[in-house]
Amino acid sequence: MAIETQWGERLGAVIEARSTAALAGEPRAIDGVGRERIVYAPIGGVLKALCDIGDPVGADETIARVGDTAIAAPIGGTLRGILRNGITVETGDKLFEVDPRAAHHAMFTDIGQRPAMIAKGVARAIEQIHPHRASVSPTVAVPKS
Amino acid sequence: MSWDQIAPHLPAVLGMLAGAMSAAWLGGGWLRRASDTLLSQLILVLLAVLGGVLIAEGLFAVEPTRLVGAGLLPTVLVAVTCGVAVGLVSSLLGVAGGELILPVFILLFGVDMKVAGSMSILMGLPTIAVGLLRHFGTGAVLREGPVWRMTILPLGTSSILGAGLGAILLGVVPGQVLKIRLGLILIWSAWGVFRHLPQTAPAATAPPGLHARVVAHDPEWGLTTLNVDGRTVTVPRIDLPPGSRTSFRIDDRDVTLALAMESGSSALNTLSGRVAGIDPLADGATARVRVAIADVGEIAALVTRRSVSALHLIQGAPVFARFKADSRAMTGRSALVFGLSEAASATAHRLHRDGWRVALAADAPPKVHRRNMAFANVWWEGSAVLAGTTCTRVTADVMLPGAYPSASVPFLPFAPDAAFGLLPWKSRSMHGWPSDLSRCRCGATRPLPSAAVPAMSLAKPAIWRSKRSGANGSGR
Repeated sequence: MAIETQWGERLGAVIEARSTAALAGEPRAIDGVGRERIVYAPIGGVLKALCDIGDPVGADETIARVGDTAIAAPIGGTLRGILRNGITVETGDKLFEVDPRAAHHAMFTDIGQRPAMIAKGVARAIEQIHPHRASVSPTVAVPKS
Repeated sequence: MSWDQIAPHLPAVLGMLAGAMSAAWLGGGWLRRASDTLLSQLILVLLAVLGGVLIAEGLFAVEPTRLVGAGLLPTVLVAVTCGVAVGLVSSLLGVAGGELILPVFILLFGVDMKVAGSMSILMGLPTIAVGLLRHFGTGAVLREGPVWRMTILPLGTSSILGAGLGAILLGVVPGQVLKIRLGLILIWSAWGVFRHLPQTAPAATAPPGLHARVVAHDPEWGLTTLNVDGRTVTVPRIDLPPGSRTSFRIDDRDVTLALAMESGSSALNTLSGRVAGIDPLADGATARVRVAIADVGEIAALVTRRSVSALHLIQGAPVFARFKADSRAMTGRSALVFGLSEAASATAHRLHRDGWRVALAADAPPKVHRRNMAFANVWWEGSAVLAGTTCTRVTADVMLPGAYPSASVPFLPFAPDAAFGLLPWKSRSMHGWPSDLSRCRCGATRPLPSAAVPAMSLAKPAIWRSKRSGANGSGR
């Protein structure tokens, strides 16, 4: 049993047979800005976060350092997420994300749509495994042959 | 209109222009930081005030008077102040501000009505331009293509049509009447804004279970006696020592209602209360009767409408709610969610809200960047709030039976097996636990063929391991 986690119609679906969609998920665009709003660690090291979640940031502004390497924001907007200051990262780890919208339109708190759908799917799946009520099997009339 | 007419008022015009342009610029910047609620409230007040001003202008003929002294300094000071107010209104509401500029010129500076009209247009253009530039700069709206297509172009085109129509109408309908109508429209739209102001959202809480304390176990019959605020409730045996707290919920289909405390029923539990409400269901035959049990809470019973009538149940009527000692009444379904990612946090949040006893566990600092959209900060800060639900880090000593369930979701800073050993409900069942937990990983580093995953479905209590690799980017 698995839960589909890729954006699309089947997001959050409980899948009991066959497989979930192949991993090809692209982040859903915000204002037309997709993957490029997310910044990955170019090298490994200790992260020094210079901004906090919710801060307004400008394009090319230095947001964090990994070791001695300065990492700049790819676009301007609002800092939607950043790894905790002091965490040790590996090359390729997601470091931070810029929401291209201004702070009062940006979303950086509360449960996102995709995790909410996944949670709904998980709740549905384990409800099947551990039903709250004893399930009443419907009576099925089988014609005698 | 000639230069001679405007020249004497030049200090006033320039002063106001300076005030309005700077306020429009600052207002645009402030706009991007202010909360939506505050903005809505501000717009509400401004619309109402503007409406009032317009109606007043329509009702009373405006005579040019000069209230401000003739000196250059008072003129400029007053002009700048008024300009700031006009600029703020202009940038917030997206209007030229003529409704405000006109009365200022006519009433404060004694400008002739027609000259004032031309001057207000002169002033309105630069003010709007500055505000627009600022909005472009902050990228509030205009960068988005769809906004242009969906709202600005259609609205703009229809406004131009409307303006043409209006100009024709202007010749027919007296200006005063138009002003009063416009004022009424503004106040009406203020009312619209007011109605859409976000009401304080009800906090998302777990559906109410009844809180109880374990009194004693009855090994002979395999039952446990609970104390529910002074009343005794018997349920199938639960593995908690006497004195520990727990909670349970009663399925409304398991509850029957009676007018007398009679014996000779198989239902072990009876609580007396009063009818708090009767909600007929869509099927037309049944109704959910809510019974308020003093100091305890509400129990709902699903009964037929015929029974409601036969028992003369009305709000406030005394009634006995009886229910069986059903193991399903215990909110004993438990889940351990592994990880602090957004998906793991949302899952824990959801299950907690659905009445599951749920705990989160993780054994490494979460590499979660959208920390405020998850419970991730609990790792460092000891507690975190997500959509109204608090998650609190607990340690082995606190995690004794009785300290749970609680209003918050416990976070166990341990690996799944260790965390699972700490849970008070561990005795329930360990069989079917997947021998290799790492196989349960969902995510990208090692994508699993679905055939490998069903191992999870055997896990009891359910464990949901949600850990996503950093390199596997899926934005929200």
